[in-house]
Amino acid sequence: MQDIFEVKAQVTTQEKVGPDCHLLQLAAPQIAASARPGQFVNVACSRQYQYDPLLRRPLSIYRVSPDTGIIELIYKVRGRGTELLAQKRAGEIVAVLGPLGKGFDIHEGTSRAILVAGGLGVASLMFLAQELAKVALGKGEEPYVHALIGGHSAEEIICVDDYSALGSPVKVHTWITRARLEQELEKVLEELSEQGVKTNTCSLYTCGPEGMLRRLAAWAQEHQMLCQVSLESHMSCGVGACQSCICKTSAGTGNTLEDTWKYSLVCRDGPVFNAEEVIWDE
Amino acid sequence: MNKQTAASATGTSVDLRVEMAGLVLKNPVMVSSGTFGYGEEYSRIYDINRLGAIVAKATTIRPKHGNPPPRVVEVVGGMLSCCGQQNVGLERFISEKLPFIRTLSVPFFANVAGEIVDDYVFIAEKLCAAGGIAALELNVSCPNLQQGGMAFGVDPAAVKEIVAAVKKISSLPVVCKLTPNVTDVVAIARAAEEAGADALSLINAPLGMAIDVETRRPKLGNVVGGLTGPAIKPLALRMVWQVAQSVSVPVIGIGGITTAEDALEFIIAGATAVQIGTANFFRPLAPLEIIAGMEDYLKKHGLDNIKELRGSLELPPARGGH
Repeated sequence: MQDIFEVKAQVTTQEKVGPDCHLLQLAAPQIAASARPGQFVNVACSRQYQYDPLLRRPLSIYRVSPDTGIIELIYKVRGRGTELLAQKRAGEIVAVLGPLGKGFDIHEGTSRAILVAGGLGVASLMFLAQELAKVALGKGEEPYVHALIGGHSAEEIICVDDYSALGSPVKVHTWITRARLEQELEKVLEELSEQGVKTNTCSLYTCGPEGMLRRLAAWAQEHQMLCQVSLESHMSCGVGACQSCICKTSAGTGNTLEDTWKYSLVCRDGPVFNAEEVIWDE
Repeated sequence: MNKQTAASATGTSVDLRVEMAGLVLKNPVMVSSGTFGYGEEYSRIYDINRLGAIVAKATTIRPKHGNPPPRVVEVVGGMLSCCGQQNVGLERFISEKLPFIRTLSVPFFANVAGEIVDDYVFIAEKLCAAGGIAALELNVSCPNLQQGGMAFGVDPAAVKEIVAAVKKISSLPVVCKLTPNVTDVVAIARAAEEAGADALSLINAPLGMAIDVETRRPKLGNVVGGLTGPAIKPLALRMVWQVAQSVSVPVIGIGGITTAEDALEFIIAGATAVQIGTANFFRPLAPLEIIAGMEDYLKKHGLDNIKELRGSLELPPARGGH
């Protein structure tokens, strides 16, 4: 099992990257050295021994730099915890626990990767895009990654430049509204078909609103693509102890429950799940 | 005093060991049921063998899905939760969790939950036979279920019945965990002691509630849930103090303990040991910080042994009646 580190991390920078969206850079060398794409950290937002809010906030790891020991987090100000976090300035110390959870599986045999980020979903897919770009350089195939970044409005589309900076292995598409996302996906399918790439050799990775994940899971199944979804949940401990962040998944073999489903923990069993395991709420 | 003498005077000579229910714990800092999984989770963060003892999450005969979401709501100074004892069940606890537990050097307590007296006896028998467990903590007080635990814990006769039945067959020490959702916790504590409990742990979570005023719906899937965290510490401390004065078996203090100072309050009130619960969620190293803080406190106050502190509460002179 991967080690988890509790780090008193110094803030190196904090900047606004979109409406209520912040990029926080922290010096957390142990986490930077071991984190994998799709993993997250649990961040203490209140001051030490002040219990409002009591619990930490789980934030996606946007990028890491093992060389400098910096981890980057992107989050949206939504309540008291993230409001306090947004006030942290360079030099201040923030307690961070990580890396946490199960990240994305990178299948070396995948011929193309399609990444779909809705809103803040860009935060958990950037690190993956980076790693996939490295795989692509080994293969010499371009573009290897199609990154479809979007949201409800133009302002919600953030971090596009960082994805574009990954260069020719990554082709960035942006979308607003569900209809545009569907059009972009059609375009990707056409491109794949022109290049003679079969969809059942592609992987789809997605993070964003649950409705979007659910539709994409169905779309991927229709095209026989491997599909992994990164789920979001309120959490407490982040390590699998408190059992507050549950999602319904199909029960694997060897489960003594007579039912066909079980509650998995988003923090420990996820946040990334194979789409076919997830039982979506009605 | 020269530097060397000063160093030896503040050396590592303080003794945090406590004896309880026939066990010796290397320090009085335990972690409570339902906040530490089966130990595996936190062993990825630090060496859990440094703890005084670990209590596993509740084990029921059959696996349980637990309650539907939302299971946790943050409130001021605490949280409400209603997980509904999601657990792998007795069989898989023995086959999947005990092998890891047996590799630990720290005493590991199982927490036993049931819906009828026979459930407790059945689980206790199996766990005693399985090996690898240091003691049994009886969860007669879990507030999260619509039926079961709660009904036992509020009734002295029922508590007596369960404790006596388990004691009759158990080769392991038996700790009874008490609920605060009663008018007279001392009566329940005495019933457990009379039935042969080797120690008492308290408090389990008092019941609480939170409502979303926009939807007028309860914030918890289960409507009500257990309130835990710093918010309940004064309530827990009062109950531990009352019980410690009224029974002769060791008392384990639980409720909102987050810092060494919190833990010391419980020891001064009469607790032999403490359990750290919700703090594990928001300060994962809290148990280690508390152990270190206790050592520092003893040194600072010129005490060699944590036992010297137990029940050392200084009460003001009696008021009134003169």
